[in-house]
Amino acid sequence: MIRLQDVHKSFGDTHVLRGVNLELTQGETLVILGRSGTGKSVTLKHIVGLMKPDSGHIFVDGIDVTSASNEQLQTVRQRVAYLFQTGALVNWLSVRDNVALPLAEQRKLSSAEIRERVEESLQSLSMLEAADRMPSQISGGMRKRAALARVLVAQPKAILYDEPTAGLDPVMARTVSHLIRDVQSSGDRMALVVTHDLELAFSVATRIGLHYKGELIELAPPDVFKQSKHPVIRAFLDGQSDLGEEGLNQ
Amino acid sequence: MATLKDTLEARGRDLRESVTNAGFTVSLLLQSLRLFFVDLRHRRRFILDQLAVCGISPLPVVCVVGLFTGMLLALQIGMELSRLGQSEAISNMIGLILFREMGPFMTAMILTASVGSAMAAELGTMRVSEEIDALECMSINTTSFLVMPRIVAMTIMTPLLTFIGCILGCVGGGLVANTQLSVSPAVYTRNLLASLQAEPNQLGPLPEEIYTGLIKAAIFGALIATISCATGLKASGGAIGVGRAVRSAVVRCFLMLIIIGYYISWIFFR
Repeated sequence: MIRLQDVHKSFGDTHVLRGVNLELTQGETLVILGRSGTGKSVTLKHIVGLMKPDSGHIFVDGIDVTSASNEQLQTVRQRVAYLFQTGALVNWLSVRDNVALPLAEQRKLSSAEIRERVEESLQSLSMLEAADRMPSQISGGMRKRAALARVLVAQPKAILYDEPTAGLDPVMARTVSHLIRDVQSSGDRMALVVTHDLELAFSVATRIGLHYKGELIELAPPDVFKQSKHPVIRAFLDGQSDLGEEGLNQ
Repeated sequence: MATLKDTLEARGRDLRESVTNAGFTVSLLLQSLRLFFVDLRHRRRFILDQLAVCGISPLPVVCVVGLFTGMLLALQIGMELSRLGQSEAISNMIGLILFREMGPFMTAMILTASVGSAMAAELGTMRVSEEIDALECMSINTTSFLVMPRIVAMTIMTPLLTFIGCILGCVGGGLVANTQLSVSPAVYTRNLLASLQAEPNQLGPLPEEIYTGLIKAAIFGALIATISCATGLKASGGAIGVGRAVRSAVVRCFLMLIIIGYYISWIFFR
């Protein structure tokens, strides 16, 4: 289970997270919507310990990430995988070597076992034919799939998806959203997706929340969220630029 | 008053940042040294890759610069020596200058500009494009994965390139000595070897001056790789940040090469 408890984070004068609370349980796919640059990714980075909050706590399976030792952090990172917006593949390694990287670095499996798991993972995402290409030789969508293969090969308990459809054409975006749904349907894995893509959100989520001015508004199932009367949510769903601030002021 | 306070605060921040960066660079070097013994077996492939990067790509430049530095030295020093009737002493001076100071320093400058800047750019780009965050998320030790192989490769290749550069410098000096100063190749070579082995040598079969130059070059190599990697890893702010990191890495390397180079010479030749 992943739990964020009253998490605050500021960068200079900008208060990005203002007491974020959320809980993610087994098998759940939680989507955090919000406009670009509002600090959605910052929330994800706190969960894997890439950032430390100014105050508050983050628990992953009972381990407090904010005060975790290096060994505990390693355990957290083996359980929770992060799919970066750009894929973040290592540019000087082939797709196959990129996917093998987390297993090779754990140094627990033999080369044959690693090879087998990598093939499986690439196969499940239809990436076998591009396995020996370099990341610079494949398209954005393929890079995302390769990055997802790298995430899945380590068999994590939870996956954090950072804007998985950003920069993709509608067809590829739909493919990625199907992939996420497939990944989630094949087990009791948790997923936390941050995005501004409504189609993706409503296609994969079991609960949806809106990140607005450093807080999470209305964490609810997709149907309830869609019917919400909250002016900010209404404005976001209707694509208004002022995000319902007029409504809030009234 | 407010302006003075702001200025002092800004200088204080700069100073604190410089001290933090220096501490980070030293800790990176020490961690790499420890990881060399722990992870050497797992990093053989990356070290070999880096040996090729650090050794092969700058080789032509080192050869050309080495050759012409020797020729230039011979021309300038030779003119003065021939005025004093001491033309035959040209090889003594070229050997000492090249192997003691010019060779390691010249090679280090070339490697800073070609390899060090590339290391800072590569790691800086990885930092700003979240590749390093991704490695950390996979519990991969970035010092062992990215930094240690580069430091090892530079520590091995810098002395090797220095040696090649110095030999070509001596050849270039010999060409000028023979064609411009009428010093025969036999006399040039005899004086050159004599100058390089003035005292009994405890270090090995080669002249002592060569060893001291090569030790200096190895230290320079480790220094260039560590500073460049540390600066690249601290890059932030997109393409501009990477550019800033590269510039900063080159400037820091040049400054440290001059300062550390002086103290190494002081230890060996005082």
